[in-house]
Amino acid sequence: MSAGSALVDYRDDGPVAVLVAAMTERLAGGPRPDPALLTVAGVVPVAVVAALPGGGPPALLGAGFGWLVLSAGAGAVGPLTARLDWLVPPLLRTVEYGLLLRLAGLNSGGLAGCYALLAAVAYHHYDVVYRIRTRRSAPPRWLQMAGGGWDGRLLAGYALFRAGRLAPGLKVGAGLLGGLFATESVRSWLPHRRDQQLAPYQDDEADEE
Amino acid sequence: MAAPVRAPSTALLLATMPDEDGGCAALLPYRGSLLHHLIGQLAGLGVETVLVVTRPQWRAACALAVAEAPIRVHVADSPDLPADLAAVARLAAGRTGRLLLAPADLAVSTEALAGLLADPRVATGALIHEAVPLGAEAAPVRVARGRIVSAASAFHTAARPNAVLAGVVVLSAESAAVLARVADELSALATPPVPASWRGSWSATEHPRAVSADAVALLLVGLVRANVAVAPVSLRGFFLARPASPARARAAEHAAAAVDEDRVLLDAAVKSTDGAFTTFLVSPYSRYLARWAAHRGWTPNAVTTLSLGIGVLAAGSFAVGTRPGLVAGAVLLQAAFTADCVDGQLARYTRTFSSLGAWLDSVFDRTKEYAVYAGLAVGSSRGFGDDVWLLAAAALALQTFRHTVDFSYAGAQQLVLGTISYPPLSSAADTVVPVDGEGESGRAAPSAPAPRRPGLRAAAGRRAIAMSRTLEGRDWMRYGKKILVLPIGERFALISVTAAWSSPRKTFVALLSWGSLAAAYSLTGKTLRSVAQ
Repeated sequence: MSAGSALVDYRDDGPVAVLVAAMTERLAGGPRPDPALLTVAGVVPVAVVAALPGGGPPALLGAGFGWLVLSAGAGAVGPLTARLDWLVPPLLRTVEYGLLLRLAGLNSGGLAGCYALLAAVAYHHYDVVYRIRTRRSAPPRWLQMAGGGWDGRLLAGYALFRAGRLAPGLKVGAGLLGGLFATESVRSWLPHRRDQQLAPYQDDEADEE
Repeated sequence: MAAPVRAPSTALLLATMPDEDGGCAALLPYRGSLLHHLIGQLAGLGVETVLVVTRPQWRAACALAVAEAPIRVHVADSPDLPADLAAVARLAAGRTGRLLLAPADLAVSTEALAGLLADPRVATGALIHEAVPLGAEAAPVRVARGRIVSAASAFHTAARPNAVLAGVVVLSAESAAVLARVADELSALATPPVPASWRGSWSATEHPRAVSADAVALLLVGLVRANVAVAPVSLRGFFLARPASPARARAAEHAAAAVDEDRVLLDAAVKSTDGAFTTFLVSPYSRYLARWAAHRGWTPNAVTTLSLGIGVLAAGSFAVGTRPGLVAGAVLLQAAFTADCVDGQLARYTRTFSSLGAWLDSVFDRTKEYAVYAGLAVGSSRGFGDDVWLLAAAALALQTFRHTVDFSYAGAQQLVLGTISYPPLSSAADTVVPVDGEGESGRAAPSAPAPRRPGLRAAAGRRAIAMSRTLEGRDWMRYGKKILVLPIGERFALISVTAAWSSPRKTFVALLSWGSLAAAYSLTGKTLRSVAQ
């Protein structure tokens, strides 16, 4: 597992982003689009609209969500090897957590549920990093797809918001995703309980805490 | 108490260094002789076979010195450096186990050797020493991101060195195969006439003692430039010396006897990269808890789990929503943090490292912190009539973002490490690897090799003093920067203090404002560095 692919795992793309990336590749051909630029281009419009009072006109906000998934999703398959490509995972994290929180804030009473959902998603995001670090292998692909990815969770969140079902949706989502991520993560350790810490010793803890 | 050491089956000791009178330095008196003592230490660590390479005129004396060794020892002779390297190549070729490579004229603490051999995270590694040059034979190296990325020898210079090699290198079976190849190549290059670029190097002609001693450093250059991941294992406070005269050997014997090894082992169990709060306010006592836990036979994972339990209790206390609840939560959170420091120190002290342990430690840290945020938010609604879920969720999002920046940047740096292309071994100069060094701002770098003549020792001493002054001055800066980025110790302290004395709302406001500042600082720094590289 090279670090380049670890950065791709940190993105946490769901089925929609992967589909968008595959279609972009087929349509565009030619040189790969720059994933960092695509992400910034996707994030800025929706961030501006969401920052408007009341989250802006609902249709415009919806367009922002759609554009985000199309633009940032288009870079989903490419390797993250250019100088500033490491900014992509933190950007995707910001836009996902930030928009879900914004939607929950617009929707009275959904904030505790939103906290629970973000905690469940954050568990998964940390688990990806720590498993790559300690076992040299990322969680399986099916889990990433089943979790919906940043794209799937954002689209589902927006749909629930428009349907006026965001508050219960966040609670149910937190329960389902938390259960899924935690169960898979604990089960994955069963055959590795006694492993010694092998593999090259990478002291990037220094950076972290 | 120490975990079983994964011993190399074979050790190769180079007894080729002359002492100041031209005799064999490895035979200087040190608990018998340096050579005899080192072989005894290696035998105790599980090494089965030792091959000693020495000069023809010292062969008989070396054979006599090892006659009573508890393990099999072969003594071979070799006339010069190219032949030494060829001997290394022959031994390393077709190896099935790990291989240890060291100069034989080395007085080193057994715990330092055990640390290098026992750490399961180190497949291939070298003992290194930060900051102050070890003495005449210490070759500078550059350490970055858990790897030696550049190394110097009598013929090669290191790019931007920040540590020195402390002699001992251990190799996995795979790296031993690479070693055989580079030793052959180096042997050919070291055979006169040496490459043109080697002739201008610092010591090749002037300092024969350095050249003959430098086979290990030379081989390390070969490994590093062959992209072998050599992990630096810091000597920390352990004893190491390479005496060059009988008087200095006796002095080393006294100095080594004066070192309290358990004390050093305990001190070395404290991570050197911790933040200021942890370093100055927790580790000074948590290390004794770690030793106590070790004597009671506790495992690091048990302490990690205990820490989570206390953290969950803290979250529960915060959730009560009364002043006593907040105060109790604050105290429990600090107790949980202490236990969190103890588990890592216990693991390092007892050398029990497991993948699961490392994962649990990290995951439980996050779990505790975000459980505490939730507890505070619940307590705020229940006891203070103040709904702060938005702030709690924002604090969680901000902290996760900050971690992701660190993880992602570290991943990008590892990617750079994987694609370095080094100059050939015939070239003296090395490339500068565009990766941040460890403690770059904090540690003085021995930028030039240490002077080699006795007349220059005073100058070396003065320089060492100047260096340590710089180091102290910079330590303030280093810890200042660390406090600014709000690491876990400072964060938990901030939570405890604000929650106990004020309100959950204030806690989140403090976390969000300081955290935003820290995020901006770290993001700007990392972006600028990536653009500059």
